Amino acid sequence: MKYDVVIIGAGLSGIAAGTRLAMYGKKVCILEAHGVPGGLNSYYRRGTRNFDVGLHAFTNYVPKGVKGEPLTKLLRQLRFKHDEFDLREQWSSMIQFPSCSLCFTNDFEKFRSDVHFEFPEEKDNFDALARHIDECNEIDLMAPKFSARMKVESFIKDPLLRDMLFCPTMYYGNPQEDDMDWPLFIMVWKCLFTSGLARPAISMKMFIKKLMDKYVSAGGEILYGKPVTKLVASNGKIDRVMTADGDEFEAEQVMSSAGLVETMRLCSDQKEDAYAEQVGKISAIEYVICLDRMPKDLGLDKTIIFYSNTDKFTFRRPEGVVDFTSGIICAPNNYGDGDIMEEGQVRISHLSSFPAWKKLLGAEKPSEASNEGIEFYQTMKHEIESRCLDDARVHMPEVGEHITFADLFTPLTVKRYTNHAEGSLYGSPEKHRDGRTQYGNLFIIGADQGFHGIIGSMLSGISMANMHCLLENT
Amino acid sequence: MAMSKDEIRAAVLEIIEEIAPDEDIASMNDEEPIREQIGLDSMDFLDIVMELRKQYKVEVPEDDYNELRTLASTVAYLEGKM
Ligand SMILES: Cc1cc2nc3c(=O)[nH]c(=O)nc-3n(C[C@H](O)[C@H](O)[C@H](O)COP(=O)(O)OP(=O)(O)OC[C@H]3O[C@@H](n4cnc5c(N)ncnc54)[C@H](O)[C@@H]3O)c2cc1C
Repeated sequence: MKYDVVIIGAGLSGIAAGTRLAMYGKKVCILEAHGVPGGLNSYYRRGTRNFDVGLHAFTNYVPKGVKGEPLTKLLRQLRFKHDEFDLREQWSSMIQFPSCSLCFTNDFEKFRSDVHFEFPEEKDNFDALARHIDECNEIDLMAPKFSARMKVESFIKDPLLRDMLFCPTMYYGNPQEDDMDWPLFIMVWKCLFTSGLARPAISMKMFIKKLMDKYVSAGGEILYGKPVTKLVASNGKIDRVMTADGDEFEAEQVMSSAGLVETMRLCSDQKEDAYAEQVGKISAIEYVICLDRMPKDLGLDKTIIFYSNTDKFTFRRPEGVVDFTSGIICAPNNYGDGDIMEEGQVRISHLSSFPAWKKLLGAEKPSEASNEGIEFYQTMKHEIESRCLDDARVHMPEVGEHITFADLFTPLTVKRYTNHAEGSLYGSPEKHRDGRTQYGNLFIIGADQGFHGIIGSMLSGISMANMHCLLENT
Repeated sequence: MAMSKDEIRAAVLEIIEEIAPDEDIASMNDEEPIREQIGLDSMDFLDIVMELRKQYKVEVPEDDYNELRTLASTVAYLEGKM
């Protein structure tokens, strides 16, 4: 089969790129390993319940009509009206450290006045930092790499405030240990603080269906259950794309959302462990609890709490299985009128180590493990679950009596589901902002191109499709 | 048959409306820059060019992008081309 463009993966970046290409007459096909679209922001069923895979929040929220913002750009590029997603805004969120807490809402002034109140000495410094960030273009593809730690330190003198600013920004998208790339920091800062958090009143399933309908009605094709297993390379180009069932696809251009390392390892002239130094180390567990009432009725009225139990915040792969010194608690019900989800739910995340879980299980998948390994794995899961519950009790003392269902995913689950090397959440620390690879017609979209999150990954697909496949011919 | 000025204007507005459905197209001023009135960025602007090609087979070379500054200049530029 012959196409203008073949896209690997029907995650948000793949669907968005495909839609742009199909809109402008390209013959395009998405090959997706799974049976459903959406990738990391997909949905699944457990028993009688539908779950969103990862959704805490739509970041980058701005109201209708605010110009020049990522959300506005994305809606225009894909020809959606703002109302179509019926986005509901967060209540309020918090950064909580032992000696201080800061609240933020979708109104930056609230955050600013909280910082001014808690850190009077840093007033001017914080404002200068905010102004500087405002002036930076977060989606500049040519922005040079720079240490965000150093940059923030040049404005903010109090290490506590610095770490409080890094806690949510790192948790929401940093693939790197300890430090963060400055352009990424700007992007996450803007998507969390300057714009805001929201959630579509329609479920993630409906949201993705809307995107898919647009793609298909523009003429795009998609094949599910088609894992790409090989990219046949010759003379620095990809000649053919091969799937597990032996099918072959020819394409002028290939765009991949499988991750940089993962994509390179598909290329026929690369070693199995190619690009090993670029594998991302940041992974996490998430414990999802369903409740017989709303989180607010148990005392949790924040939308998201980013917290650290020590004033010094560290962000790295833990030595052990899970690092409980910091984490995120999210109540997905706490948006709008609080009625977008029928059931109460709380999600608790912590940094976690893929190699540690793998060692415990003695394999990457339970299906390949010994009985003993599975027992270790299950025992550890129970232990982690009860620790997570302790975290939840801080905000909802009676949570234990109201649980109707609970599910824990580990870095091994992330690996199994996304095929990301070492279950990395945010991909490789090395971003490839122009999307180019060593192969002339192979481009990276999604997290490893450098834009992440729901809105970011879609913008990534759009801008790479525009730049490499649509504008080349103008 | 070539399109009249009014038809061209309507066609261009229709394209802008497709790209920016949340904007109030009716109140646009013909003499002021399109980009500023409805906050089009360069990505959106290129979509106008691509839609003109897709829908009306009109090629606008990069050197002529300046001609699409205002609604009036766009109509004048496209007259006879579509
Ligand atoms: C736990 C978690 C929670 C998150 N929460 C939020 C949130 O609340 N808000 C937010 O904005 N962002 C969130 N994110 C980030 C967001 O999910 C991602 O940035 C975004 O979905 C990435 O989209 P993508 O298209 O780049 O990649 P992916 O979603 O990873 O899509 C890649 C697709 O490619 C497919 N694929 C991979 N390899 C192959 C292959 N060889 N052949 C065929 N198909 C293949 C995969 O099956 C997948 O469908 C979260 C991420 C995680 C992990």
